[in-house]
Amino acid sequence: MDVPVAASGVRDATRTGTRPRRRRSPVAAARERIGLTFVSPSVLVMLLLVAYPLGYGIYISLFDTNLLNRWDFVGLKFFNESLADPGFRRSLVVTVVYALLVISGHVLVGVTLAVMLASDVKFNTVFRAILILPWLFPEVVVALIFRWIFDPIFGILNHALSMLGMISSQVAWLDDPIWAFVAVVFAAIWKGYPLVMLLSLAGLQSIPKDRYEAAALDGAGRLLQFRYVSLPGLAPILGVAVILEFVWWFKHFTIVWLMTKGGPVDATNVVSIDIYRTAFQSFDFGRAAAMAVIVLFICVAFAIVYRRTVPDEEA
Amino acid sequence: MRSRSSVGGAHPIYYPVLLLACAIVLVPVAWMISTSLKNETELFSDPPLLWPDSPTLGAFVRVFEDYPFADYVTNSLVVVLSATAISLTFSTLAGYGLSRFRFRGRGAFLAFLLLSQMFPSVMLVIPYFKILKTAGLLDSHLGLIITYISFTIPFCTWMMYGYFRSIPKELDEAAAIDGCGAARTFFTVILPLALPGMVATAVYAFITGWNEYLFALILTNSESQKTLPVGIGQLIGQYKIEWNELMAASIYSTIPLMLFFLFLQRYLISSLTAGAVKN
Amino acid sequence: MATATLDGIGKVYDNGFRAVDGLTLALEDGEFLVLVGPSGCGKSTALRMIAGLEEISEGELFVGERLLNDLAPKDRDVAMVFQNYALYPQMTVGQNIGFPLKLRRTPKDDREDQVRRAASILELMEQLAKKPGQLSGGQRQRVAMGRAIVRRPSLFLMDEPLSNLDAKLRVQMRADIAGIQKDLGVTTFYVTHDQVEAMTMGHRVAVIKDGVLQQVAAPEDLYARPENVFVAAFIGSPSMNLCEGTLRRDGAGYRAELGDQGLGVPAETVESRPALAEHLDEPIVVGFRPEHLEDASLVPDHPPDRRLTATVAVREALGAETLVHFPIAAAPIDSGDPDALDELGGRESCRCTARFGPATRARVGDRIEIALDTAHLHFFDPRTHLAI
Repeated sequence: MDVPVAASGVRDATRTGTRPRRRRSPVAAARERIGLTFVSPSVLVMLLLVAYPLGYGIYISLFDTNLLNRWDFVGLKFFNESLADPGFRRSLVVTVVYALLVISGHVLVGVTLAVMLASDVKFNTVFRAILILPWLFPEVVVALIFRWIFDPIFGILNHALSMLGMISSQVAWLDDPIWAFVAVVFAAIWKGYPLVMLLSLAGLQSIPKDRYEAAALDGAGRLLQFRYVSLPGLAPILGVAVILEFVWWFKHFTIVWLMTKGGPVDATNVVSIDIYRTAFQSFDFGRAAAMAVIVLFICVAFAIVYRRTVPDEEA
Repeated sequence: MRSRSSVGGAHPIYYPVLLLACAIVLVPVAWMISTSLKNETELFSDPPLLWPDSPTLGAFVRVFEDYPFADYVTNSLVVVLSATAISLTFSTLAGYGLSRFRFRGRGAFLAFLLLSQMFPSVMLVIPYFKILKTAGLLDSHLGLIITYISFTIPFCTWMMYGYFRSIPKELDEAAAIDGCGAARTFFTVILPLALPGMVATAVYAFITGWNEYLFALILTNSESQKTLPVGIGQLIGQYKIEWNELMAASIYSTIPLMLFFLFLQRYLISSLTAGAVKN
Repeated sequence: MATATLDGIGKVYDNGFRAVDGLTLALEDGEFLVLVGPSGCGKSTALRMIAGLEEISEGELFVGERLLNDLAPKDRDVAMVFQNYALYPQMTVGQNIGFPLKLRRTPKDDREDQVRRAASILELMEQLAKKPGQLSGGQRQRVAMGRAIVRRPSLFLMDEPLSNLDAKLRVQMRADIAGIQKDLGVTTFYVTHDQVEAMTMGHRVAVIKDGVLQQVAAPEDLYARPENVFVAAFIGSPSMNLCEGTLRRDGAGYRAELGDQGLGVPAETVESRPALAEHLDEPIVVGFRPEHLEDASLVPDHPPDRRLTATVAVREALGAETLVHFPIAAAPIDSGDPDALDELGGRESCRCTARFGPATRARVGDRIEIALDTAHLHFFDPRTHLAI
């Protein structure tokens, strides 16, 4: 389309009139250099402290080794054996169930409490301050408190239950496969829900009030408003949170280890405990490394699948 | 229709639920405090006493006397503060660079950042064990600091990246037009605005490091080098568990986190919104 | 001096998208040029290329004799006012305005002097110690301007500075900005999507669509002599009415047929456009502005053969005038403006607007006669949309 252009103004004949096509201007190249400068310390650290040990870890998994003098190359033997080993598979199942239960607990408790805190309840700040507390306790402490609570003889749980007449003799909670599992799940939920609660609170507060008002006018009561306004608004944040949570609790070690050491009879033998024992009690480092690599793949695969199926944040 | 607005108003059922939740939170905490104040006999009384008849701070004192508790605390402080400071510095620079500039490998770096947060800690413990052993850094502050940095830098960088993205690029552009070079833009214009995000990142890094158990367990050996979580954790391994001392030690270890949080919670909440929602 | 020349400036992104194509403009020293066009037309991109915030893919940019293409923004001696002001939140107003001078190591006394001078021009003297967060929108906008003028650059760039202000404030700021630019005499590029701003503020206006310059001329010329359909429809509010029609000879004069109605057209109107001769008896695009229509009952002397008959569909009484919307049975024309509403009449009916005087008694549903000043008809080629 030939559009006429008003020709006016000063134009000096000494300038070049051609229109060269530029490949990469020095300004853009300079910007790239600057960007790399800012990023390089972190990149260096991550290459040295993350990528290198990761590679080394994978390397170790190909050897039958005690990390001292014995290094026998075995290739993928440990991978195959672990994947076929019922004990390892069992610990994977235990871990998945554990992680799913814990995350569900976090989301249920966290979102429910957040909804309540986001409304104009009285004593809001007091409630909030108290409900955040568990997050501030180191995992070690949480494990110990609950271990003490569940103690067969001196724990207050038994005491309270027998006072209420619900049990007649002392129950050794942590010695029973099922109750031990329940106990570690409970402790983990207790410890971890505040983070989900805080994130949900932030998310809820960023949903514009008028969406709720529009829903109310359309005839939605409290529950429907939650379903059609709150939940969709929370979806992006919860999405990210769930991924991080899953990975975090899948590789969890501390609380379970200090409460049950993986027992009784491997009832709570989450995969990190299994790997720990293989490496630092049986000194079978190669096998342990292989198990760890398998766990890595599972976490990454989960994240990829999750990211694909769950739609990304709103534009 | 109820007279209270059905939008954002508090339903009466909220109160009992919230109270129940608070009870579930406070009971273990109260029990922890109560235990820490008991003396030997009251500790193992049957039935258990809800609150000691004669509360005593003896356990709090004995923690320092009977165990190298001061060492544990010092070790934790040194290691965690160093790792936090270093991570914060590097991650702030990197977060800014990632959010403002295009360069080769940017996408790969972002992907690797995300990926590295998914490594099971137990996965890196084995190679680190060997690496530190070879370097003679087992059982040392430096060794632990190195390993802690390996997992705090990825998520600190990710957090700062998210935070910087919420600072409008137009400020950089205005600064560029006004005459700032890149460094000046960063330090004079943008950095002051990133402080809340930096505080939040520092708090997360600190809490994570303070919490950390597995690496410290494996990579330290001597009592003089163990961190707080490990020190406390092993108190339980004794034949006769001194629960009151254990609880006293636990209270000690929780206090720094409480203080941190108390002073800095404004920043935490606000940057959670900025970081999380924008991410 | 500070003339500005854009020679074939273009912007192509990696995915092949052309945001700006072959933009050529030459500004005289002290000229105020407005770049106007619908959202997404590339005007902001062009401005950012001049500022150095976007890389110039093609063409050359000169200020005076200097080639600016490869220079960083700070070396270009340009100042910019951003749409969202981009004030430094942690600095006071005084520090914000003085920042560019501080970077140039202007001695403190000098700097404070100039800051004060800029502040007094912009009536910000009371606000110097406050931070941007404490100011109103209009005040922040003036701080942004202060930061730009304090440097006395070769070129001012303004990216829709008024679009975040409310209507009344906008009207006042328009005059203020134009006045300041005149006093300081700095060559200025001003980007906006609001054609009223364009018409009232610029020495010349450049209309841009899809990255291509449509026409650059003084506002009056754009109004009276648009060179294509897009410019004709974009400039002027309410928009020019555009529909399909046919021009035929009618004895000594001419006749424009719009659907089932015909209008007498003065011979001079047709003959002053020699190219029209080739388009007789063929469908062409006919345009007439709302201001050239009037309620026939108010101008009884208007020739009867220059009247349209139509039914009033919508009536908007504005006080000083009354806007009347009516359909005629001719095919409507799509001007290409993405922000314009789709014609609601479909392919058979063209929705037209007229500006009647306040005395009109036409009401919705009335079938009325509308006088059309056919001397002010515009004609465009139906294929190329160029003015004939």
